[in-house]
Amino acid sequence: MLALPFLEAIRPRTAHAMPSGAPKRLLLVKHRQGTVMEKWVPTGSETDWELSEILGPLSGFEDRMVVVSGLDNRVPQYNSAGDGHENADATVLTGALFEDQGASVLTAGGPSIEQVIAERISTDTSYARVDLGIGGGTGGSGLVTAREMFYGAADPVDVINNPELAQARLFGDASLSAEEIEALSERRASVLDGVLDEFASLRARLGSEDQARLDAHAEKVRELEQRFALGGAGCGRPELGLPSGFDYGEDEDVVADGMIELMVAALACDLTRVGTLLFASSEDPTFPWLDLDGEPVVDTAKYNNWHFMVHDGRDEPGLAVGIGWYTQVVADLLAAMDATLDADGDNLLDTTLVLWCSEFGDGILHGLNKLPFVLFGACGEGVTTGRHIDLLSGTPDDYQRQGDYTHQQLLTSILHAFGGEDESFGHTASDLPNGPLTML
Amino acid sequence: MRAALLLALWGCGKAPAPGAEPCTTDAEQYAADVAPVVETDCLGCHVSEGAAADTRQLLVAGEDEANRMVLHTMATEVVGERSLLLAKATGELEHGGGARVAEGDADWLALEEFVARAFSEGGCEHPGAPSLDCATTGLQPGTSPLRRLTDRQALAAAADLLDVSVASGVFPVTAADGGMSTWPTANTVSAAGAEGIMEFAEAAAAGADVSACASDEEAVAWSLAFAEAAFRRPLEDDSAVLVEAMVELGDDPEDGCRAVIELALQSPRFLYLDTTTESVDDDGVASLDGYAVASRLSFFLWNTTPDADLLAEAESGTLSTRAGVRETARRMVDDPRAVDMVVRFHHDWLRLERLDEVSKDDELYPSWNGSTLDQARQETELFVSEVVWLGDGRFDALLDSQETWLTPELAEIYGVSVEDDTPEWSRVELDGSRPGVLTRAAWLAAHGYANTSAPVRRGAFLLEQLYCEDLAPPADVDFDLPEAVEGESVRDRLQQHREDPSCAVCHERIDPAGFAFEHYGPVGEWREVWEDGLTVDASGELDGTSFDDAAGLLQNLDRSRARACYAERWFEYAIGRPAENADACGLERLETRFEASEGDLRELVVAISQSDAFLHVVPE
Repeated sequence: MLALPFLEAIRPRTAHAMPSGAPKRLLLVKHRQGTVMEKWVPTGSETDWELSEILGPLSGFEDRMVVVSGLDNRVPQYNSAGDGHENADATVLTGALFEDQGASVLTAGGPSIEQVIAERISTDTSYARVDLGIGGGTGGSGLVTAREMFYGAADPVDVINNPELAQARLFGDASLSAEEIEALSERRASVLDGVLDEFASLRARLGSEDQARLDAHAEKVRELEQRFALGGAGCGRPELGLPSGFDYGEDEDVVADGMIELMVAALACDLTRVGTLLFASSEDPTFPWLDLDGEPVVDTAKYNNWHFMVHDGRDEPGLAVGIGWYTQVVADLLAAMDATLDADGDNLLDTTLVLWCSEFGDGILHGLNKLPFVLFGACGEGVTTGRHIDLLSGTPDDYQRQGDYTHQQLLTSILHAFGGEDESFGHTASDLPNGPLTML
Repeated sequence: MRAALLLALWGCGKAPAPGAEPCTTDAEQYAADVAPVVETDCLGCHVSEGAAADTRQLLVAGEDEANRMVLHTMATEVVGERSLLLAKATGELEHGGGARVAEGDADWLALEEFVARAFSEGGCEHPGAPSLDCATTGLQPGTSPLRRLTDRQALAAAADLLDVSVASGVFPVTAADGGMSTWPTANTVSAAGAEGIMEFAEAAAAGADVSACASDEEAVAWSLAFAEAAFRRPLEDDSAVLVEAMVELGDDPEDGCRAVIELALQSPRFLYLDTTTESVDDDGVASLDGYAVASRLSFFLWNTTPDADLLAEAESGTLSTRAGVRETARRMVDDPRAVDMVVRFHHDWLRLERLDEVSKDDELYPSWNGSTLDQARQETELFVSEVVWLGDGRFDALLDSQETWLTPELAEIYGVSVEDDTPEWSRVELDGSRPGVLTRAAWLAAHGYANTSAPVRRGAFLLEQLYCEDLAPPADVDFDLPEAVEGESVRDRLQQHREDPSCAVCHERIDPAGFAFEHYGPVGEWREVWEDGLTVDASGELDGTSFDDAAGLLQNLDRSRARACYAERWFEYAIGRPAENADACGLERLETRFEASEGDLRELVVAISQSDAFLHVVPE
């Protein structure tokens, strides 16, 4: 458990107070391809502001969120490899350079923010982290590799994008009795214990680079072993009510509902303290459950796919509708959290830091500057919610111009929100602003 | 080959700067052109009292010869396929002193020539690639990163070991992701992936016939034999102890054997290719032992675990000599089990994993669905295995053969007729518009968008996978293209590529190569007009040779260069990592043999099994 600062530890707690002190959990939400800046940035002053078109579905949550506009991702400037997507994906949550600039397949050189926090606050739960996805196709048989999230260098995270698989894994096989689940867990823990002995034995004869590769794998096995040694979750298994004939590769709206239920249940019963929800469709979402005056959201007669519409369709109304759907899912998630108490009886939203972001700022430019970040719920000690922190320096139309603040600063602030004292996050260089954001 | 690797340093086949005229030696070139740059741009920090005193690049004012050596070391150090010297001086790599020179300026040109000379024999000759004396170099295995089995290899191994069939999709899916499916990057293990591997092991255990485990003694005997087979070498003591403990874990002897299966199939001794060595030479290069070689041969040539014969050859010492490995490899490539290797390699080489990522426009292609996609993939699998490998087995057939296997649906895409009463697949001779694998539906659809072709993707593929050119775009490239204007073809829009110099350096070659395929639409159908009504123009020029369409381009490809590149890709697939500078001589030998055999694929594959990188490692 996280050690509380001395004063915090002796302060009496009230049952339903607004968040104070460090949030208990982190929930990271991420969508791909950025946003449409002029339809994203709220208007007004820091404390008296209005939601934008894309953020509209968050109406009612204004007091419990902080929108941060104008943070730049400058890390790719220090990479010498990769295209725009590879650079944006590998740096947005890690702040790290590529592990190897000469590699044929590029990968981040360090852990992403939620992993760092998981290693600090999610050590005595069944899961160090729960990673769920919406969309991303069926090619991975229920898993999608998150190009943005890494356990460590060159060690990408997979999210589960099939809600039935996620339900079975997180909450157990419904066809088994409690005794059977206990026996199965015991058996698995014993076998995995033996597997870990095998890892240790083989490790001894490898060189250090291969040891690191083997350790990255062994760490996942160790976590699995610990989970089963705890004897299964004992959480309430949510029923998903999935319609018959549903296809998790296509029916992303249904998947979103299911994943929200699973994530909220997992956090509420303290299965984990770090969750991620990744909108894993990148190039090809078609949003068939939405429409634009009866027409499809993605104009495939004019654009090859969503990615190309993002590139070339600044004035296409479908863009804000598609991205606005991501907002709607976030709003549904917040509402579900707000209606749920955690294991201590606290409001789940009030005790969780929810961070929502994307790897691009303006999607049309595929820009690395002015990334869209929104925080909800427990944003950290002393952080007042209900604000729009505008770091666009008065020129919101200039979506690509580099400003004075980096996204690494916000990520450092998030480490601080969880009690860390980190001086920086990710890559550091003399001309690269890092360290916590003072205005948060 | 060395030339190709070095050319890549300058990107996009750009030749090194020509030697200075009149003749200057390397030392003269340094004194005249480089020393002034060093004085103004480096000596401020890179001296013992300077800000960069702690770096390796320590210089001394006035000591030209010593400084030249320091720069020479930097020049030949390759980072991200660029010379460290240039990468630092331009600030492309993090550099405390920031960008000191800009590409194209006089200082940069001086450094660039210095780098070119550093890679050349130097002196007054035209600086270029050195001719390596590969006859006298020692063993050069390069690196050998620990490799996990691919999803298919794990499933095939379980099937061979236990005669069970575990549904694919339980084991985490291998994602080649632009590299090769055999590389470590394609086979990392996430938390969810580790759970999938556990479920795979449990499914294999549940389906296995363990009736031999009738008593405790029989269970132990069966389990030890199974673990030995699963780990592909004699069991080590600690594993044996563990196996016996696992047997006891079961509710009964049979269940104990299932527990052993669960353990073994999750053990790194099963999941990773072992690199056990048996001897180290004076240069610190070690030979893999016979069992490690048996595993490498088997997972490369048969894509599955070694059989009893192969393990017996490991035990007898047959696989401890190069000649023994050669004989075994020859036997193995003639075995029908080699077909899966042929299919998997070409799947990776053609980047057919993209087929899973592209969707096609429902309105334009109402009949294109998952089944058509599978058929297109199968057609290419049949083409490379039945037509090429089991045909004359030569590289040229891959690019030239008009034969194929088709279903009625594919025949419709190709605009040919197959008789209605034919079985599902029939062998067909296509016309001259369909030579080889790059004019077939699978590759064309994988490299095509939903409703338009993808000339840049197709052209880039050709240069990367047939000429081994490095086309990585700069990190901050703006991919934005101008808005479509009526009456303006995609060629017109892409014209910007050639007007902007930073794009032109690569796109001058990518775009014409891609446009050659413009007669093939998003699913590979032949077309005479573009979607905007303009007549398709697939003509162009590459490396001074003009062509009218893809058939012309493929016919006029530099086949020797293409064979060399294709051999390099096979090598990378077999070795489980990208080619490195240490492979220069090995690749040269490989290409020479492939060329001498007139592009015989079996010869190539056997030659790979003879390479330093296949049989040796450099222990840390």
